[in-house]
Order: sequence, then structure tokens, then C-alpha cells
Amino acid sequence: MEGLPTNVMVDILSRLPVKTIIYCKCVCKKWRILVSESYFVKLHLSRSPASLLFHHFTIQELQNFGQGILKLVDIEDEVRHHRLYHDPRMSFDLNRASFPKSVKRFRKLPIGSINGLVCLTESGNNSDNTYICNPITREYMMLPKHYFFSVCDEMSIVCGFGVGLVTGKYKVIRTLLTHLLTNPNPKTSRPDLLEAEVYTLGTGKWRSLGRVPYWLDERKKPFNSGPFLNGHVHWIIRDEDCPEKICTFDFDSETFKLFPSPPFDATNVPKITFQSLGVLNGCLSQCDSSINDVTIWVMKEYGIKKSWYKMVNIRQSLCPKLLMFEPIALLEGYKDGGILMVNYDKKLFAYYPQTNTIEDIKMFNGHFAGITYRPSFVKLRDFVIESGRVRLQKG
Amino acid sequence: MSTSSSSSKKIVLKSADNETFEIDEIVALESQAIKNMIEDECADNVIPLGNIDSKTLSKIIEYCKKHAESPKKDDNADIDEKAVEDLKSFDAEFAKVDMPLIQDILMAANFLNIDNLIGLMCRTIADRIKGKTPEEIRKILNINKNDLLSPEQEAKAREENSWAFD
Repeated sequence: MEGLPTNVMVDILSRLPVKTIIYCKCVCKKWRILVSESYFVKLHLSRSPASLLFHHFTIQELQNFGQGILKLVDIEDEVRHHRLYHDPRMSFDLNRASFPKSVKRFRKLPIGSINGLVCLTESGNNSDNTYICNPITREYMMLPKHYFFSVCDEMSIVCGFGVGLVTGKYKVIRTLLTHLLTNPNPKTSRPDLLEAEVYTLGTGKWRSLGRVPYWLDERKKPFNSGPFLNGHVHWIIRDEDCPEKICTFDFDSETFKLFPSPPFDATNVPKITFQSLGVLNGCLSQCDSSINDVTIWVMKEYGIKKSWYKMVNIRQSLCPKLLMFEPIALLEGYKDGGILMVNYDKKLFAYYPQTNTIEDIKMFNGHFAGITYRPSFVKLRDFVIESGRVRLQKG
Repeated sequence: MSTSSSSSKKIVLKSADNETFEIDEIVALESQAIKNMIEDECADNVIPLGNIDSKTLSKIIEYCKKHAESPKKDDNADIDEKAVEDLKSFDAEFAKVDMPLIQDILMAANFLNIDNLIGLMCRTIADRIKGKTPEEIRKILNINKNDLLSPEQEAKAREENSWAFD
């Protein structure tokens, strides 16, 4: 084996599941070094399978201000065979992270994950921080104080985590929305304050981007993060006079733009109770919940208005307890058209259009937030300026 | 598509143990390294492969023959699924050999620059060590004692990664 050239060894290692790769670091000298090299990290990432990550709280944890555990879930997606698999060994326990005492009791939520890096945020109630971690390299860090600081519960935050297609820079974007106390119709009018700030990994500070031109939908609080796709984060907007109802943020140019939304039916609007965006099988998707049904739209060709089509329409009566009352987040699509979804933060389920059936997936008790995730060995310490901030969870 | 008609150009490969293999040029062209040699006209009729033994070389020729005969993806967009399936099951059968031979084939494929074969052998090794413990991996791959971590190094590596161990 030791006779094999380095490129071949890296090729073999990059095809293994992360846990076996970690075991390989304990096998021989050469592998130990190879796994930490950037050539390996890149090749592994290109082959790393689409997975899920859940930030899970037991009921007791929620009551005792616990921080929750990040749990990795592998997806087996074969024809007529789907399985979600969770190896408890691969979890990352946030309760064991050495966060400052002042933030320990605040609940954190994952806003997204890019190339194995997970971004979490906490907000409201006098605590407002952002965190990045990689559950595989066991690194985590708390970002510096925000430029705009959320001080009260009335403030809403809409955010996103992504990477520039051209620059390759990882960024966290967050926008703060709030009404002045003097505003007579805070529920129905455009926020008086709508400011954005951005953090580029490796720079050590938040920058203001000024006023956001669109009224981002903040009603899913606290799940107000948009999905990342194609170098952009996508949010639903509420401006009635806008021809499109989606806005994107470009992580390269740092600009906000209107984006083609599904065909608009004014008569349907009053019936819609919740809306969310997601990515299914690599396509931008929108989920509209109404009193009678749940409709999932898919944009077949990115950026092409005409390519939006109604993929499925699920009657609420099929499974009222899963489909009604709470916002639905789209998680991932199976190859045969099945769709994994999370109902608010309590229920994980799948819808199979071929049989028009719903499967209640009882994976975790308690509360959780789910995001799509691709395990990687990308190191936070490689963003040099951050290295002083990065902590390592041992054991 | 090639058939082994007597009119097609032949290439002779000579293994480390001096065995010669006469093959169609089209089969030899599966190797990017041999292809370059032929294109640069620096190949004689006989190409000596001093670091590949006859057992390994005959396996490699078996692979290249099959792949040269199969329709290539870029030749025809809608190649029939049967041909793809056929090639897949050939590859699966081909890889059912012991670990030392897999490693010899991999070394040779890397030297001869046969991309698909490198991929097949890497995938085969990965499949065999997937989900195994460090001890099992060492045994499967028969890793040289000199290359192993010292007991102290191993203890340190295990401690750093103890979270992933059962």
C-alpha cells in the first residue's frame, strides 16, 4: 500500500465515509498527513454525499437552556429504497462548546451550511450572535459583535450563509427589520428600518451594506434564513408593488436583486398561510401552504421564469396533523420524486407523489431544525485571521 | 469499433518477466501513456514495461480489450443501456481479485495512465475498507510495519479523534 503514489492514495481516501477517513488518520503516518492537505479536502468535498444535519433539542434540554446537539444524517436514496441513517458517534454536542457564559442560555438555530461549514445564529432577548462550526474537524467559533445589534424582540432578522461563485469567499448576510414605535400599522406596513450587514470569513469584522431595497418576509421567525443556490441566497419578499416576489443576494457582488417567482395568482393570495423557499434536487423550490392544500413549485432551470412548474399539490386532508397550522420547510428531494420536509420544528416527514402518501419519519423526539449538509474537512483555522477565534472540541 | 482482425495495427507489450503480449493498437490506446508514446512516435514495435509483471499485465489487457470494444459515451449520446450494464458487470467481476493484485493493477494503471481503471481500483479498495476499524484496515491492506504510527503517535491520534470511536 505504501508503494502507491500519493495521488492514488488521496483518491482512495476521498471515496470513504468521513468516519472511516478519521479512522484512517490512525492507521499510518502518510495518511495522517494526507487527510489534512488542501488537495485532499477539495477532492473529498467534490465527492462528499448530500446529507442532512439536524440541530436537536430534547424537551429537557429546552427547559434547561441546553444548547442542543448537531446530528448528522446520511441519506440512502436508491430506487424504491430510502433510508435516513444517523450515527450518534458523528454528533457535535454544542453543550460542550466553551461559549462565553453570557450566551450559554440562548437557543441557537442553524441558518445554513456550505461545504461542511455550519452557520448558527441566536437572536432576540439581549443576545445576538453568529457562530460557524465544522462538526467533522470539531472546530467552532463565535463571530465578532454584529454591526447592527438586535436589542429587542420586535426586531426581526432575515439571514443567509453562502459562498461566492467567483470569489469563493464564505459570507454571512443578515438584514434587520423593525418598525418605529410611531408606526400605526406595524403588522401590515413596510418596516421603517431595513438594514443589511455582511461578514466575510477571514476578515474578522462585519460590514454595513446599508438599506435593503426590498421588504423581506420576516414572518417565519425564528426560521428566517433563505436557501443558498448558485452563489445566491433567496428570500420571499412582501412588497405588493413588486412584479416578482423573490429577492436574491449575490455573494460575489453583494447586491440585492428581484428574482423570477412562480406565476402569481392574486385570487390565491388570501388563502396562503405560509410560504417558504428551499432547494430540491438542485432546483429552487417554493412551498405554499394554504387552508386546503400544500403546493410545491420547482424552478427547473435556474433564473428562467417560465421554468417554474407546480410539482405537487398535497391535500391537507391527506395528513392534517403534519400539513396544517405550522410553516413547512423543504429539506431535500429523493431521485424518484419523494420530498423530505420539516414541519416547524417538531416533525420530519416525506411525501411520495407516485403513491400520494406521507411518511411520518420518527427520527428524533423533542425539537429540531434541519438543513441540507455535505460533510467536509474544510478547516476554520485556514481562514488565518479567524484562527485566534477558533476553538477545538476534544474527545 | 475494433475487432481483432489481422489487418489492424498491432502493438507488442513486454512485461518485467519478459513475456510478450501482442494486442491491437486500439486496445493499447486505452492507456493514455502508450497513446502519447505512439503519437510522439517514440514507441518501437515492442514497448517494454519493466515495472509490470505478466500476471498484472494480462489483467490490464483483459480490461482494456473489454473497454476498447464497448461503445464510448461520447461516440453516441443514446448508447443502449444494455452495453452500460454489461460493462458495469464486467467491472464488478474484474475487481473480484485479492488485495495484492488490486494494488499491483492500480500501480500499473497509474503508470500507464488508464483513468477508468484507476477509478475502478480505488473504488474497490475504498469499498473494502469502508466502515472498518484502524486494525481491520491495516490487516486488509497489509500495511508495512515501518509505515505504521508508533504506539505513542497512535495513542495521540486516537485521543484527538476519540469522539469518532465506539
